[in-house]
Amino acid sequence: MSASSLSGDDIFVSLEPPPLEEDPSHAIRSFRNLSQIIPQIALERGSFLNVTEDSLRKEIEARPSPHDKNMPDETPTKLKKSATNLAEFEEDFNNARADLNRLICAAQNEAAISLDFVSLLISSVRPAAGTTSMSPHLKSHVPVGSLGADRIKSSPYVEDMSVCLGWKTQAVSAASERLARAAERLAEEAGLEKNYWEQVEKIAVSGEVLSKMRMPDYRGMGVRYGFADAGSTYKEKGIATLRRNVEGKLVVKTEGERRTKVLSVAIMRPLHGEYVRTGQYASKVNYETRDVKKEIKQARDLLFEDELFFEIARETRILGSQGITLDFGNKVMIPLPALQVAIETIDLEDQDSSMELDTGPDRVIAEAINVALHLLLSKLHRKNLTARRSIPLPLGTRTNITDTGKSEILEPLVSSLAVSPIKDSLTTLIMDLTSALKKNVI
Amino acid sequence: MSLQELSLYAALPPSRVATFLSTLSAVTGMRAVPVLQHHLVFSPTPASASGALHPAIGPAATQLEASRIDVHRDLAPANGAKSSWTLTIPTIPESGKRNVQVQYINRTTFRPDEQCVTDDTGILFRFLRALDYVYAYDYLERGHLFVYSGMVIIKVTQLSPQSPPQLHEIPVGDEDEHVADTVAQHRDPETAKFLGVWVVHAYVDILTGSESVGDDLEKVRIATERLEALKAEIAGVVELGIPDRGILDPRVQIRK
Repeated sequence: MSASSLSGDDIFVSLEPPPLEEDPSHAIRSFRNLSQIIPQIALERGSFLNVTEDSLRKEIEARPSPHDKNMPDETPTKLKKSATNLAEFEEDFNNARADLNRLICAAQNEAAISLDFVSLLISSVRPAAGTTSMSPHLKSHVPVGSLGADRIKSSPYVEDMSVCLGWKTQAVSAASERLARAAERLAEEAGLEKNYWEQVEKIAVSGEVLSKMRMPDYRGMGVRYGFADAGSTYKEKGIATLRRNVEGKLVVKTEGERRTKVLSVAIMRPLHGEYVRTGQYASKVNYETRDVKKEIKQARDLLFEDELFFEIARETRILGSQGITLDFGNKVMIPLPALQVAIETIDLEDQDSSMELDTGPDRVIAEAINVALHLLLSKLHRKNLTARRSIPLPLGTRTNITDTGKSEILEPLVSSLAVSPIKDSLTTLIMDLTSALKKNVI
Repeated sequence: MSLQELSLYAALPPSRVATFLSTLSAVTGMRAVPVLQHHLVFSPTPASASGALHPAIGPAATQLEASRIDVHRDLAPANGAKSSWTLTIPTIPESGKRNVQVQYINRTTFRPDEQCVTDDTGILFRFLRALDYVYAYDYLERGHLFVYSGMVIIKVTQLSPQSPPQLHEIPVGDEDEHVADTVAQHRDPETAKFLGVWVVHAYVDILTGSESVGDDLEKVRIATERLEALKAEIAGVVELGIPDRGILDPRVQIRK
């Protein structure tokens, strides 16, 4: 661009400084490609349509040559001064433009770097959004999402150790108190357990059969006081649990209701048309609840009494043809010549003190019958045990007599009691007959 | 008497017998009852051969066994009579997958007052000779007997190499240490190799035929249940099981 084409109204500024061929100190090579020159020319001269060869020739001829030193300087002084100022202005302008260009390039670089920085930051959170604005150079050299950021508190937190120590001390104290209480409780529990097991040991040493119990409401030690191992087939197996109460004392708890009835045998003789009790004897069972061993023995004795009356009542139905009856479900009446035997169960508390004072002959008979009944039940147990252990017959073998159809207790007793009076009456009859016959013969 | 025997077997080394007897005492609720069973085995002669064990082997027939069991006085009959000789005709156990072994047996008991085996002229020998059977060998089985649940008979026995002088004498005490010494002295080498081993035989006899009462299937079911209950109760101490049915095959090849 030549200085002569400049006018006050049209000022065309190019950010690209003009090439400085005269000054070799300028090491900057000005690359002015066609895409930069053509728009500049278009701005200065208008469209290329108005450019012809003649106008260009004239322009060139009108340009003063820099090698023409003899050309008279026909410029007036005022114009010379304004040209000098213009040159300085131009130099300043070019310098300013170069600075401006440099600053803008720097700003562009900084902006690009900032954009890359922010994109890299964003890519750690939203990789898709970050990578779209990252430059290819950054993408190829730095992995996506490798730069992160976080907020920094304004002031660092300083822990108060005294609070921490206070809490710790309180927790340790509470734990130690709990441990101490637990130890006391355990020691007390161990003492109660020891007491319980000492009592269990005493029972085991005394010969009772102990076993582990697994019941719906209890799991622990139990004692078998029944007669199942002796051959009894009674429905009650005689099992009691050995429980521990809160005081550590051993408590014997039998299954079902507590038994209190014992067998009583009474002798009744006719007096004035009615049968009157003339002698009675009841089994003696000491009612004891303080000593566990005695309590177990008492339970065993009462179970035996219960089973005995059950067997007697069952056999009453078999011996009904001999006149033996079961009155009101709890009294067996055995009619014999000249007397009646009444067998029933009475409560331990109902034992009449007069029974103790009765020493008549019928009391002795009642006692003997009572003892015989007990012995016969033991014999039945022994028989059952022997049958259980004997070599069984093949399954399906026909047996003549069933177990439920034989009287093992009442029949021997009744037979032995009835034999003597019958024998006496038969003897008397025969004696009478023989004496009568002898008299007739004589 | 036609019987169906349901049984289970097991084998025990002598070192475990004491523990097993204690266990059975607890399970059955009774002490071990010493028993001594004398077996006489009769083999068929060629004249009695019927059928064939296998066409390639030749004719065969069933061996018969007569036995008498002597038990301790606790189990002996109350009248003090000695036990009788019983002739047993077994069959091979039933095949098929079962929980217990099933074997059909015929037993005939001689009258106790009969002189069966005093000598070769005893009724037992004469009877079997008439059937063309001759005496082959005899052996003793001694041990202990239990009864479980009133139905299952459990015999824990071993073969004894010696014949006692009197059949009603039951040896007392543990004579296992003598067994090894007398193995070579046993008459039958086939039986001798089993000396020292204790055999556990748990069985239930079911009467079959017109003499029996009750439903046969129900009796078999009850017997099987009791045997399985016993097996479960002593599992861990000894494992009752079913042996190979060929071991109990009573048929032998006839040697001409």
